[in-house]
Amino acid sequence: MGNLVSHSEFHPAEGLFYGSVPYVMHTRFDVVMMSSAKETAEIVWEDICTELERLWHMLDRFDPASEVSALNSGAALSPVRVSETMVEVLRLCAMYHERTMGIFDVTKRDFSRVRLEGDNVSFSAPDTFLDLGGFAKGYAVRKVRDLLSRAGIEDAYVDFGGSTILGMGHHPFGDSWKVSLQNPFSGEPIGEFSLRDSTLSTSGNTPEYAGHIINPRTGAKIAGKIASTVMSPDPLDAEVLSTVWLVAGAQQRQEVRKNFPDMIASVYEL
Amino acid sequence: MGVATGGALLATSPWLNASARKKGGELSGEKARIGMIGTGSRGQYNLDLLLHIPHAQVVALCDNYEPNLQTAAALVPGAKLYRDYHKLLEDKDIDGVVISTPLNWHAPMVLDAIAAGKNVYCEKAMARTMEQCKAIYDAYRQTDKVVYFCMQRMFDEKYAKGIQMLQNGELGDIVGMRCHWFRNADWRREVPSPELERKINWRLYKESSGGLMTELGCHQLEVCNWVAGKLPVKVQGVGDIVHWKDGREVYDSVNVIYSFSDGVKINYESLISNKFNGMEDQILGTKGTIDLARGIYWLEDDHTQSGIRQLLEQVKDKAFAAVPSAGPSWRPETKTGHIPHSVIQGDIHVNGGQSMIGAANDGSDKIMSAYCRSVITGEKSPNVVEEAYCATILCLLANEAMEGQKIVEFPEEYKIPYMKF
Repeated sequence: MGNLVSHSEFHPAEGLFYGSVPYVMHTRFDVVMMSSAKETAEIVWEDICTELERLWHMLDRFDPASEVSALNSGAALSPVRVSETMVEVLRLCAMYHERTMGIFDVTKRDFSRVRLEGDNVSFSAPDTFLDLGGFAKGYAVRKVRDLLSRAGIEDAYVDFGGSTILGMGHHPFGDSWKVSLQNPFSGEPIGEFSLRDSTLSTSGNTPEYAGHIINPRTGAKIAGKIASTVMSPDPLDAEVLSTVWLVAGAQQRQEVRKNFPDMIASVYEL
Repeated sequence: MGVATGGALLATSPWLNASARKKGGELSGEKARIGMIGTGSRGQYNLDLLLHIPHAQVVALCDNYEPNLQTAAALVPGAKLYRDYHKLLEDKDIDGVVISTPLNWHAPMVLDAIAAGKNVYCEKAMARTMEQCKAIYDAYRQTDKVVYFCMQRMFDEKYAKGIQMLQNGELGDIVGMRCHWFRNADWRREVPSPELERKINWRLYKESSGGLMTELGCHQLEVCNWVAGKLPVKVQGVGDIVHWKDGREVYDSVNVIYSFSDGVKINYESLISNKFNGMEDQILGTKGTIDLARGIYWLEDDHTQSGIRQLLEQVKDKAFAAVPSAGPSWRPETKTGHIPHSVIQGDIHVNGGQSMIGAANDGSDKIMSAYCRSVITGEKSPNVVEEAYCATILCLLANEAMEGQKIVEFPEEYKIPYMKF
């Protein structure tokens, strides 16, 4: 296994494997998988850790050695050749940009400055930076889901930092995985969701961390005690749209909703 | 212990105040003309700071140990040289002095400098005895000159920000403090000739030194007072010479407990024959712990973890209920295994406390710069002398407790209006 610090435990009586990484992508990652085969669970857990570490070191703009940092420091000067994964990431970013009428924008300013030709990326203007903060965890959870499926795990609960939670299949004693949303300011539960092959993503301000969500059209920070949730069969849709929901106006939300008919979104005044 | 109110803490944080009032007091090319009293290792460290401060000019140097005087003189060509500090104090071309001498010399020099109408900056601790501290405090209250003691943590950004976090209640109620300073070094300096032993190794002898408490503990106790917004009411402790049995008189191992009126305690420990634990200023809150010396905090509860744990318990109990773990938390609110969180973003310097002389960027540069500015503007820096007084008295009380093997209550005669208990 790579350099991530991780913890795992197998509970044979329950056929349950629990794995956790206390620090990855600036938050924590937990997974509970239902599997009576310890070895199967251990192997997929190792694959999950490897994948999380790979994506972290690719997508973290705070890591000067990451691929996204190479783009941020060089792509405005001359084209930068990127990995296959980064090509996929940027294509997805472009797709979401289009399908959210420009509200989802990893440049937080003007996504049209990002040019992708083959596996070469260039920025058409200086002061262009990619921030994949509202994308990376959803993307990672999608990859984790695929790893679990491929390993034949049907029932699993994946929690990435509390803000992206995937329920695959169901709880051993229920028909889904139930999760409640906590108000970060009061600690009170303010909503309950049943996840069955779906992901809940939450965005918003917390007492410790406010003003990190920016409307790319106005440059204004989203202020105040506000949070949004999006539940979707696709982890990445959920991740992207929960941020979009905070930024979008009522009219825009209606438009976006047309492009994502499977999702359920809410906004909370905290 | 509750958390002190915003006003009180801001008032004891000149670093924050200094940034707030920066605009009003631009200096117009004036320089503070400084005379240095004491040019040994710490004096040379201070000299280096001064040579990098644009509004300071070192005009005179004084030391009664010729090799140190000559070393400093080589760095400041043109500075007047003195062997007797009284003569330096008569020099009309000096606006302020910087005193870096053995602890027993602080009181006579500070008092003489104030009497001579000089502005004064003196190394910590304040003085060798409580009587001397009180005399300095009284003289400071009388003079219109500025007086500073090197309480550099008050000017260290990571302390100011960490204390702001405590003030915001982010770590809950303060329930304890653990400060320690560990080194593995004998504190001894080479002596060219035996009659210079007490002069050069002044830290090792009670006549000239309060030992680990005044040399190291002083800074950390100041932080505790700053955090608490009040002083402990009593102290007990044990001190010994455990390892460096080389004829020294001061302890090389101290364990001291200070108690506040509400029962919160400071556990202070210093040992200089093992460096494993380094230097830390830990403040323990009901919700978390912060080490102010490193600018790192740890939270007690991990809510994500507890949500998952609930899920595991549910499965064991064959129960099905909602897991309370969803919420907007891109930033880690908490982490398992007490993974540290950094308090401070940006250019922060943490030192391991192993140098006998001083560390880079530990606030010493800022407090020295603030002093030189004060020399020019005449503006006093709030609370620096008071904090130095409080911290030094606490150090000396610990020595009294250890030497007398008794619990010492804070003496009435050394209370000043600034203190809260």
